[in-house]
Amino acid sequence: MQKNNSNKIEESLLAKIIAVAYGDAGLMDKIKIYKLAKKNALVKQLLIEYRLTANTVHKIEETELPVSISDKVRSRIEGKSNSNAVGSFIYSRLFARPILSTSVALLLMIGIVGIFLFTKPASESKYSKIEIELAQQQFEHSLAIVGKVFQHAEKKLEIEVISKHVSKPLNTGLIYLNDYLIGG
Amino acid sequence: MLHSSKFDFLIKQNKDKIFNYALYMLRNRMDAEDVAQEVMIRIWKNINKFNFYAARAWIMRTTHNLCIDNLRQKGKQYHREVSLDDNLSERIEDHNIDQSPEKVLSESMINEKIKNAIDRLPEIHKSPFVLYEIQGFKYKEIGKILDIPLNSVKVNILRARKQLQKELRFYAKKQLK
Repeated sequence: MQKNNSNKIEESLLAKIIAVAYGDAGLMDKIKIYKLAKKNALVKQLLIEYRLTANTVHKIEETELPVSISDKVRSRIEGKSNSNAVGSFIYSRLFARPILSTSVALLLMIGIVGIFLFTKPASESKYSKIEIELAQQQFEHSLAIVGKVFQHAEKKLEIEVISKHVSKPLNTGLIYLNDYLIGG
Repeated sequence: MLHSSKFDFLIKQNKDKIFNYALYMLRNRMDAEDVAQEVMIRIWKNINKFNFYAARAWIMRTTHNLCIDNLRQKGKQYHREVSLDDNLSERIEDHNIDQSPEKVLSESMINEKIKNAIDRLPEIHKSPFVLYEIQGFKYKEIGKILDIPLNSVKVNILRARKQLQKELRFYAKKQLK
């Protein structure tokens, strides 16, 4: 008999009794313990006590997670995933594909150029006739000033620069050259 | 869309398990709710990473780790602030057709005693015990969740059962009479 004395039971036997009581022992162990329980009062008592506790433990019901908690998580997740979804949708549709991104860039360029082209007449129409005439007059006046400056510069070039500073040294140079050639 | 339905399925299957495990480990409802929230957010963040069959173990491992972190942060061994058996009055009302209120009350008291006794188990014994006896995980799964050898799982569960029996001997004998 696997019994040291009337009150004590071997650890291995106790482990088997507990396993049988909790319902996870093998078939052979179950038969062995049931047979032993019929003969041994202590084994029977232990088996009953442990089974009682096991049954109560197995009856313990799970506490439900409050709905508010799962709702809170869901709203947090949905909030994040929606903003992410919009961003990722735009990215995946427009920027993640080279052909699409190129065509989008082209469209944008055409659009910008188009805006400039079509808005040009509108910008011209901003000025009144008087303003345009005044601008023309100012333009002519400035051209006349420039013309005068050019005339003055031309005269100065003919009279002062070419006659004094260019033709005179050139003449003297030619005289020296003639003298040298005739002399040689 | 697929991620969302996968997430919904996993949450539906595991939310109560996560919450109960955290409740047993932390003995505090607020902390358990915080852990449950964090686990659910982590499930969403990792929804693409783990495969469906390993999800259960992954979820419980994450729960266990967060509970351990929480206990370490607070360094606490305080008693349960909120009873696990919050719906006692409802159960007395539900059962009063078949059973007497005294019997339901007595059963509830024993339930509460058992839950308190489980509470008092050391963490090393409590984790495998709760996962095996209350949440129905297999030894192998518990080994993966707690990252301990299979033999240690069995030994710790056996020790927990013995300790629980020691604490509840009085009630067991009373019930047998």
